[in-house]
Amino acid sequence: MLEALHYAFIQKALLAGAFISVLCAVLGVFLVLKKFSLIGDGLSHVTFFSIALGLFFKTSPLYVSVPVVAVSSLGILKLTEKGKVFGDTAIGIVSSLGIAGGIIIASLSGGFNVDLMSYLFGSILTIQWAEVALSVALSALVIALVIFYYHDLVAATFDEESAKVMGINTGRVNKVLVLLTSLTVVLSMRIVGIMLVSSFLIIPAASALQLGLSFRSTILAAAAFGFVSVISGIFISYAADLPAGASIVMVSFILFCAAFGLRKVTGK
Amino acid sequence: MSVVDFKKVTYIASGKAVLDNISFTVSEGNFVGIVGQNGSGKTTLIKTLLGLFKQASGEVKLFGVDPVRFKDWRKVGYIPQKVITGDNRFPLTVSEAVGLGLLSGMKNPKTLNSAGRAKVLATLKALDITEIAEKLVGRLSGGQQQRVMLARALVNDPELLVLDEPTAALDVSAGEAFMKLIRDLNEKRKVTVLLVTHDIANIGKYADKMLYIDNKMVFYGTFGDFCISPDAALYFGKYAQHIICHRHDHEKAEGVTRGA
Repeated sequence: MLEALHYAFIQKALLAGAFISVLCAVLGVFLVLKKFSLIGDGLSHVTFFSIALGLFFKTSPLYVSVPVVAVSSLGILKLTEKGKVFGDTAIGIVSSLGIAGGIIIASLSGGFNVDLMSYLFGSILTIQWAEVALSVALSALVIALVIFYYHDLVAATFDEESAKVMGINTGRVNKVLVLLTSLTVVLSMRIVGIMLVSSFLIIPAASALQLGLSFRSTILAAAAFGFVSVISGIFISYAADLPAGASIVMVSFILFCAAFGLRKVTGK
Repeated sequence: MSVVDFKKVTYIASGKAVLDNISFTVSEGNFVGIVGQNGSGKTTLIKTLLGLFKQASGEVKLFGVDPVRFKDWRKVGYIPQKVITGDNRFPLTVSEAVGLGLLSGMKNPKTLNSAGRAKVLATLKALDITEIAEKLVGRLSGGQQQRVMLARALVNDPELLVLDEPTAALDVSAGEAFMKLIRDLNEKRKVTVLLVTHDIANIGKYADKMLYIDNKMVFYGTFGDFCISPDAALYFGKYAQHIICHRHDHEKAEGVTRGA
């Protein structure tokens, strides 16, 4: 199995995957606790539209996806906060709009091509060094921002009203959270694919929450769950000749079951 | 100096005046019970005071400043009506929750240094909840959770404590114990207290003033004033006014005896 480490495509997959998994898990804890975790799913559908748009105009889907998904994430937030629409409803509206737009663009370009399919299901084993560098740099940026806003994020997640009375600008904190999530979703699409990206955000966080730890420890545990899922998933994918994205999600789910079982056994 | 100042404040929601031309002033060291029936505007009033709602007309001042522009939130401790998330897996320990209170008004990145951690411990000790410091807040009893929220509100040594029905979910003895804590804070540390309740019968045991609202202001003053207030007699009827005053005198005497 270790001979796999000699291959450049495995090295790239492990490096990019490790960073993105930690990033997703950290943001996932806040999103799951705010009951906003399906935003990852909604934004991934918008990503489908932006990728179709990028491929249609023969430009890098990443450059189109970052602004389109960021604006959509703010749209979901605006619908929830100002439009008095429930969070899941706002996500549903933006999500279906993304899928519909993507299908129309794909249809205009003569149907679904191979490139679009690779984004739908991920292709971590084919990513380039430039994409690895971008993933590492953006992951570092997002994690730095989470550290910068850490206490504001915790306070606003626990009790938004009291956070406002502590002088915290909860509107700005929520915007930061959804913008970071949109960046993360775009970064993750090459690894697990649009169809599975929300699992990256939700499952490691949900697993860590089973353990009954403090906030800080829960974030660390979620990062560990995400990291182990990606590394194991990539090796399983190599050894068993299975798709990497799906293998990662399956490992992630097994870890969730283990954490759930542990909670039941320890009664925590 | 006045801590809270409302001048002809009107707040409108869905076309209805939830607060209609309310004026009152709270001075340093006062303990004011804000009383009224469900839907009378009590919670709206304190949310307007804290800048969470913006009034349609009138003027609100918190320590002499418009709450929307107020910056010195370390002076204010707040316990909302519903504080604890229903999810008992919410991963926040008691010491983490109390530590959040210490971050009021700080600039990012906010950090809790060793002096801050010592202050958190001292507050936990003062409220007798040191032994639950590492437990998750969501897994505590209602009485313990309210003590934790009080610790979060007090960790900054606030000058004003605003509480919205803090004993609503507690049993009688836990509620009494909590209210005694608040009374002690007011008497010994001179913390100004604004406490929302619908329990007009018991608030006189702790508060020195009562603000009774029914969307409009019905009465504001001491309990002594209440007993001879023609406005109160008109609103409650003379018999009900007499019963409330009698109950207040009795409860106050009982409280003094117990405290002695």
